[in-house]
Amino acid sequence: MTPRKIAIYGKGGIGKSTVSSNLTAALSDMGIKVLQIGCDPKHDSTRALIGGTVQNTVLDYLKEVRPEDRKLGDVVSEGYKGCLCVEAGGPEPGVGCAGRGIITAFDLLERLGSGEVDSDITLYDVLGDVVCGGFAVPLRNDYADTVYIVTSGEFMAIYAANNILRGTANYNPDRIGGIIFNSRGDPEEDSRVERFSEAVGIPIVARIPRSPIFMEAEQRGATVIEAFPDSEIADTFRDLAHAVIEGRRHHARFLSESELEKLILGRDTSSKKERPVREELKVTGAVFRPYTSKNAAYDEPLHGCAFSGASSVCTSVKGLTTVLHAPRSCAMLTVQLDSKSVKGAYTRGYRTSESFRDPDVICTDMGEDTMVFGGNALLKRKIEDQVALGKRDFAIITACPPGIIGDDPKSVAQEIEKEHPGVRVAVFEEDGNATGDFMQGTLDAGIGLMERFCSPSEKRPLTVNLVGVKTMASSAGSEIAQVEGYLNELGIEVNCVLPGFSTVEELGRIPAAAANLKLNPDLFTEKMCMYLEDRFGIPAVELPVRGGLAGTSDWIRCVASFFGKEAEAERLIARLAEQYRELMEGPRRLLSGKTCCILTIGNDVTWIREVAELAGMEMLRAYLLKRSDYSSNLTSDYLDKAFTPITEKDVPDVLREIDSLKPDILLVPATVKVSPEIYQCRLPYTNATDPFAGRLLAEDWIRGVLAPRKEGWRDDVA
Amino acid sequence: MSLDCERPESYLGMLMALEGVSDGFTIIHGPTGCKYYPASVSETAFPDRGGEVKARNLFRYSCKYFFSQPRLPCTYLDMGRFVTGATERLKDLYSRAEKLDPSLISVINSPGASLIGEDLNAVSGDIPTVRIDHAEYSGTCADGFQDGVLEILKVIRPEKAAERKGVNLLGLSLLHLNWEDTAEDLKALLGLCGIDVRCTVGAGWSVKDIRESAGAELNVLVYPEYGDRVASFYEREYGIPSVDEGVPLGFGNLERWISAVCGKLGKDPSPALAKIKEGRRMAARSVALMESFHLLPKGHTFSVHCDGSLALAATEFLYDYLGMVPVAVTCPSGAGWERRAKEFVSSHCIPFSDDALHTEAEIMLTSGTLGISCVSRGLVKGYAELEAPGTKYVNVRPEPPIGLTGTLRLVDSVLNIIASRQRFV
Repeated sequence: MTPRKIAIYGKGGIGKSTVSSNLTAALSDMGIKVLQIGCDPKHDSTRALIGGTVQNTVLDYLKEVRPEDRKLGDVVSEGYKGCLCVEAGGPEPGVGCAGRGIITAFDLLERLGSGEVDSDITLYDVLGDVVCGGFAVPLRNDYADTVYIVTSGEFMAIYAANNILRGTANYNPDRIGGIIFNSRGDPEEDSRVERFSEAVGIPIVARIPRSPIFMEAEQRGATVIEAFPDSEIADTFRDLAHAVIEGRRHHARFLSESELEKLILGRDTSSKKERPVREELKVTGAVFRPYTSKNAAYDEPLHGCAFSGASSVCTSVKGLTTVLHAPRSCAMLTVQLDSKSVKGAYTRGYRTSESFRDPDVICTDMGEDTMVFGGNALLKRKIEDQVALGKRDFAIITACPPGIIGDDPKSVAQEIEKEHPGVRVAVFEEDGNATGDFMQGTLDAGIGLMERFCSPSEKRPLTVNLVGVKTMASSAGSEIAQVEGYLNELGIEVNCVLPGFSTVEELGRIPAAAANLKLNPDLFTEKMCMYLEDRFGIPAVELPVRGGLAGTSDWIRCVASFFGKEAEAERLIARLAEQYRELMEGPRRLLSGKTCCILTIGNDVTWIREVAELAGMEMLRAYLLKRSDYSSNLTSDYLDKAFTPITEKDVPDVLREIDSLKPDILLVPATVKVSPEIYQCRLPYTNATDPFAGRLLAEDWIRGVLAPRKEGWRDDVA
Repeated sequence: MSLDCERPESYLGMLMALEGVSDGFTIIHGPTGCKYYPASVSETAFPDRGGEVKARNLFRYSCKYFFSQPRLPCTYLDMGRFVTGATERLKDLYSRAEKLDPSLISVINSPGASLIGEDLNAVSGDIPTVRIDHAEYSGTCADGFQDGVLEILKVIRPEKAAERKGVNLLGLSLLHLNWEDTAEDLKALLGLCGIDVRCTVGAGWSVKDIRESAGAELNVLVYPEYGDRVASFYEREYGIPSVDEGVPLGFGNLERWISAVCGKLGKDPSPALAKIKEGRRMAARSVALMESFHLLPKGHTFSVHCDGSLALAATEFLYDYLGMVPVAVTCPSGAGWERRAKEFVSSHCIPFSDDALHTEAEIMLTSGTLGISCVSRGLVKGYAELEAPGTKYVNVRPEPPIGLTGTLRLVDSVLNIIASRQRFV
């Protein structure tokens, strides 16, 4: 006969294994070679076929045997009349991911050559009612060509049967072999199952009565076919075997929940009841404001993952061991950001976090087995290895897989802290991007580290926390040093830099600062400051650090006013203004009268407009592109009102206009297609904090206007 | 402490195998966090796929799925989609990919997406499609790469050829530093002996190349741990033998490599050997010049952090030819080759460490990023780039890290580091 693959589905405890093993026995009696694969973590599908013994499961085998030593024969047992028996197995209840277990077991069986096994029928006995994609694997086209559904007349069993039909309809729907009615002895159930069968158009192919001989056969470690071959029930299974061989199939139709309830329970739930009016819920006590990133708060596409954001903060903290509970790929994708920052700083002459040069980070290297059986033990072992090396402070960050399989890193952390006094563990259950985007991860880690490592500290009057550092920016260290230099001139010290860029000890004294100074005019920094105010009562200086002469003067005055250092501030600003004027004298001579256009995507560009004006250039057009996949992260006060907002669809028209205006310089964040005679100068992605940052841009513009309008290489482009 | 975490691994290896098809298009079914870096690697390593240069551009790819990057769009899963599945989004992206008219579409689950059991068979059409549930979790880059190539070969079956001619280069990937320059350098040497290279399997080959790849007389391994299982596939399925003489780096290795290939094909290796001899003379002349300044490399220490086969070739060359002393060897991929490299060092009674990232040396042979990290914390005086990512953004002149030019480039790097960092007490 043509090899067939059939799947037996049904609600847990409905008797699938009994049906499957008796069906296999009946088919084997007829001389048909059957391979039965049990897909239930409790691995008892084939027990009655192999004399009641316990079979080695595929997933246990995967854990215990090295890949090069694995053989299909080790996980296949020969049972009744030569049938072949496999048990996929699965994790202990409450840990790991049973659905993933099925995927993994099937993968391994395929790799070991299960497809080459000499069998006429492969029979999959599958747990449950298609709760997730893992359990749906046998429904896929590559596996079962026919699906039988076992049900009793109880509502939940029929509900599960309906779900299985729904699951099958998601793949190839024309594969339903029929309903196998396994009676519980309830007098009403025949009519319920018949009504369901009629409503979905799937015939009942077998009616199996409740009988004590099932229990007797089980006690003998055998099927009914083997133990009671002359019984009526044995005949029922033989009839079922014939139906399976005949192989008639039907289209999977399913009912809506309300249709099902009406059909089986006679209850009409289709019309929605009006909700009762509820009084506003009254909350007493302090309510913390939400510390969510823009993407997470507005349900936008998530840019990057919180796992990576949290890692960028934790790995920048000296004295903290970051434990990435993840497969190696996730660790690689995030730790490369540290190296990239070091590389950028090295090649451009900046400073970045010293910790990034050799980050104190380990990965649990989750493998296939931990995906199935859970990773708590692995996580604990990896941290204990580090404790043995003398490490004391840890941050655990979880990637997607631990979240999906349900690992519990908080319990692991509690156990570690209990068993190793003095060890402190902060846990960030980011679960990849479950909590949000990259920015959310930096917020979570910034706040979480403070929660875990801060201690009550005596106030230090003339100090600030620098809040909102972009840890990954290769210039971050240089910018902090510059801001700190100006603060020192005012007689103010930096207490701590947040998030990250500190030592664990410095994190401990965060509450000691008199104020918080925002390093960036963005929502992320606002949220961090919100938390510091809510939690420690530390106020934020109103204006954030910004670049350009006006921006720098503003924030310095604002800090000075907070601390009563106005006179010092005015001296400093006067000196900076004088320096700036001197620096811009040269550019003004060369750039005065030149024209420019700006097309930006929403950064704080006021400092760029300032330098253009100081250089005496004429601004022909200024556009602000609002991206459909990304809204501005800036607080609105710093969006320049002189800019015309446009959307992506306007870009071609805008570029045509710019082309026709022929400005000397076009300031854009990415190269655009305009005449090569227009010098394109790239706008920085991040906000500047340097008062003289514009001078560097001006030097680029000078080079652009001094250069020939068109370069020779353009004629050589193929 | 471990910068080892940042080494490419199986997921990236597999993605680059899929991206190695010049007229293919790859979709990641997963979150954006799993696409940004791989897409950036793909753009940088293989920017010119025969048509318009497609670099990152905010104005051209600033839409969902692409997020400013022309390569490796993704279905931007979040936890809600992990729970409910995202077949509709995958179908939508797949139909967009179809409109770009590639010759092959590949769909791969991110590690997280693979756990929810989404059925990748939900997307299909007229264009051949590779569907990969997941790369091995926490596997090596080399294995991930080969798994990817083998999955491609399952979908695009090479056609059996009546007549066989030329060779395929195996074990070269987009992740290898300046891979195109390496291919060209080796092609030039083989060409001197009258041997044509049909294609580089896994890096820059087209679907047409894949179909015709079984027309080769011989498969020649370049970085063996990236090609040995693929070579077995061709041998098993098409009877094409292979040559595995290690990485062609260092004059001795290079001579053995070219002689073995010629030997298998019955060709005369003399023209290539003469060219290598020229290289030997150029290198020797430079080293001799250094001698007059007391700047000989002899006795200077080096550490190696790279794949096993490359580590072995580089270690042998620097020890045997330049007289340098290896002090640390670490190999994230290619365990068998790593063992051989360490046996080589041990056989000369040299004590060494297996943690190159934390062992002081004068020169480190590694990638640009790891090299900079180690230089910036004073662990080594300088580094020679043997692996990607490199420090440079673009090479106008070919800069293969292996082959004849690569061997001279390595000598050049080593001599210049010694000369520029030399201190006289």
